[in-house]
Amino acid sequence: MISKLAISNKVSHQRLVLGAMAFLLLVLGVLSLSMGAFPIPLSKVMQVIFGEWMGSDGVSLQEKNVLLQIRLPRLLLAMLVGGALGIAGAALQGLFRNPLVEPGLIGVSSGSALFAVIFIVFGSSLPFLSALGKFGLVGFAFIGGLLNTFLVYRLSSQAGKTDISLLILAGVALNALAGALIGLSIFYADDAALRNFTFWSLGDVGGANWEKVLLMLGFSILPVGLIIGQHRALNALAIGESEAFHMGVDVQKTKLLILVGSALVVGTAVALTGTIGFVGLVVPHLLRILFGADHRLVIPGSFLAGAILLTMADLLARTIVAPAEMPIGIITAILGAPFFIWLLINVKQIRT
Amino acid sequence: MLIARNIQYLVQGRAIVNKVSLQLNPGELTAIVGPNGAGKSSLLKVLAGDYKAQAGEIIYNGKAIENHRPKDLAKIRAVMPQHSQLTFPFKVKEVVELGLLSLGMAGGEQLVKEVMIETQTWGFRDRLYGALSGGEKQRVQLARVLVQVWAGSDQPKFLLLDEPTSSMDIAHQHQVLHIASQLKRKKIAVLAVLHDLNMAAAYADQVILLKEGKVYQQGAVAEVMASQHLEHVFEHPILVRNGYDGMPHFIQSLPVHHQSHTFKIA
Amino acid sequence: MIRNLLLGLLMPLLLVACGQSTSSEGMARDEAKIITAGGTVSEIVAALGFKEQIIATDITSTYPADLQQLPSIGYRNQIKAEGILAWGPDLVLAEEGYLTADVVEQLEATGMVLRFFKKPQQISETYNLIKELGKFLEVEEKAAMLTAKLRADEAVLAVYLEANPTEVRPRVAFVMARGLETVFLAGEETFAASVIEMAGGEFAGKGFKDFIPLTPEAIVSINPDYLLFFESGLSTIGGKDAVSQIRGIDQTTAFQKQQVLAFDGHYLSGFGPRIAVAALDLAKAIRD
Repeated sequence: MISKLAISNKVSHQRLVLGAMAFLLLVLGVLSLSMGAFPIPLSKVMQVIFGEWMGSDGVSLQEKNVLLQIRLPRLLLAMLVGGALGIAGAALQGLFRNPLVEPGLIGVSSGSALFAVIFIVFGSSLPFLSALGKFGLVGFAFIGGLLNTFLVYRLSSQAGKTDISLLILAGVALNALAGALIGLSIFYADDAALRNFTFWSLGDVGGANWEKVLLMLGFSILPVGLIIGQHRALNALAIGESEAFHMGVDVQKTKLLILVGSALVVGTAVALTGTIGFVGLVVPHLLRILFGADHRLVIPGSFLAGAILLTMADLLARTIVAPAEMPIGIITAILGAPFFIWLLINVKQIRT
Repeated sequence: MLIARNIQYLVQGRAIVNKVSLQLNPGELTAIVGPNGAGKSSLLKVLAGDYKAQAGEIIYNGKAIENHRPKDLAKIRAVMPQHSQLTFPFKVKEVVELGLLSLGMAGGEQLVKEVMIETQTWGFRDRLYGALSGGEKQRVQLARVLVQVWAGSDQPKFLLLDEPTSSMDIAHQHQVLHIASQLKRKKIAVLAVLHDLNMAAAYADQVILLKEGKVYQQGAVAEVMASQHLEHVFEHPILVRNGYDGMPHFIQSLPVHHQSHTFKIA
Repeated sequence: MIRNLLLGLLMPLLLVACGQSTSSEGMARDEAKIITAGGTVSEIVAALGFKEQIIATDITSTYPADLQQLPSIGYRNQIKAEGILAWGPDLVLAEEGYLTADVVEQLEATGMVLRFFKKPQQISETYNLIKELGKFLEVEEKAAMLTAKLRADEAVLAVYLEANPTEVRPRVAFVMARGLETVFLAGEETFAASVIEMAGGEFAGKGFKDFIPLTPEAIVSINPDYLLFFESGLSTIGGKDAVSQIRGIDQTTAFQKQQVLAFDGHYLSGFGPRIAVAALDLAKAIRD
């Protein structure tokens, strides 16, 4: 009596799209491994990757090391960070019911940047900061991101209920405050600190190593899984909060899961690679235009598409001005800003 | 059965819903009517569980509303909102399919199709929701909430409609209320906030007349929709011609210059 | 599904990655292909006879001048590991802190031989650097010769200063300019303090450390006899004639007596083998 045919057609169509994106990501990844300032032809890349099973002669130790110690971690980091930004952007857009939302809205990016600049400028003069050791900057920036998001949440919630419109305002206010404090820190910065912070804030996956990749992976798995699990709730939420409640969605739980999940995943990304903009804004949009607004596709799709986008951006960053590199945040801004403007102009058409 | 006893809902000290008691029985269509500001929508929202009543009790199928988990409540109670804003490009069919959420069942394809055909929304199922007219959007919303309660079950279900016909033309208004009254056969209790007194008179089994948050009259159509009651509540000359030969009551509000009928506020 | 794919790809690679990285420490010094980073290190490496072995360098290595004909690896934070490795060096010699920590880690992970040297801020540190580099490159005799030359230059400077005493030491302030909007004054613990004192001048930047934004009040209250610039810095504000555009400068003795000096940046601040000669040039310039 209940025909599963048409709905499962839609689901299998979605699975096909996701599968195609994953495949594209893989191909892009392998291609990306063979490009860069240090020449390693594709054939050698394949040898190294499959070499563990086939035996890799003809590949010098240095080529192998560049591939495995520099390029591969960098590629994986770009994928994971791009994916994190994409999925958080999609989830937050769904939560705020507004397609013009970026992960930075909840304060995680500015909080991270503030703590990063404090570490960079004052790190040497504050003993407890230098005691944090090698991952001091990353850890401190991560704390800053979470702290700021927590403040945004507290400002907009009362008696266990979060007011979404207040959340936006709180985000704006705390972002402005963080910005002011960042400016203040910059005032006290010397040449080296200024240079370091500027490069940090432009975004950089170039400092990747296996430890960072594992950190990113570790902090992403759970939040990403939780966010994907909320796709039905986000669909319901799209019509309205009370409507979602009427349909049985625990709205406050969804808000918390999305906020915490996004803060964790974006906080880690920003702490590791600096502020990279536009990915979280542009990727979900593109997916909705191409494949519709169903979050069952948009949420996981945004992870894959974000990974694809950042991998491409990283490739461009490494090859456009070789052997120098352009900071990746500049590339995403150059690509993202015009697209965002185009979106604003066409928002009416998109809504209908 | 949905029972409300002496519920009160206050906003900044003012009682928007003031000691209202009512009962919704499966298989009955109840209409709430009254002037703007009477508290009709607020009453509906309190009954739906959106607002928490500061006093009184609301009991769904023998269990107090606060003891139902949102998921369980959604299985027995669906609410059609007065206005809905959707900012994402969902297709009409996708919006209706959202109603399947609380049912937790996959493959509700047949159900969705039935409901959409009934609400005459199947024809534009692949269009974008945002591109529809106000009336079409309302029918889609109706389809969505119908999906929630359409499938038969052991428990009585409740459909709450908040001005479901406000943007519709005549034919569709009747069609919606006709569907609503058909639901009575499925043992669903329907509660509708209505603006149009004639519609209420034609389709409702029970009418609740609200004034300033209080129930002024409630009961069968013939009792409640009497001239003096309506005039008191709406503060305007209203003529009621009783239905005969199966025709519904005919309620007419008189133009200001009409002299032949005197009226006074009791 | 995607996660499984990633893990399947990652696992074997992780095993490899965490494993190897061997180095080529034992490379013969006179055959090694060298990349240098930092003007002073480059200058000394070249002076020790390894100039032909330098295959690439950074943009601040301007002496000997033809080093700039070599491929460039960039500047500080812009330098990336792959950019260095692409030239196939055997050895990377850099100033401490010149390369970012991430790049250093990456280079080490590929087995590259890296050595870092403290950038000299005073002449005693210059002697140390020459000695260290001489030892590392196994040319201690050459290093000794370089050291001897520097001592000789120092002696010449001392003789000059004794022969040309001044009643009152001329007050010299160093101005770092990068366009009119970005003008800084050098304070204590900078190369400027060291070299000016070496040249027998009185450093007019006491009471504060490092560089501070130059305000009209500050420069007027300091009122130096001489203003010292980098040539490159001076050109960013429009040359000597444009110095008056920096507010407050026109009220200083230095400006009024037209005592504005400019030297090549690396020559003056590098604290390399030519530092004593540079100090002598400065000493002469502030005593004319």
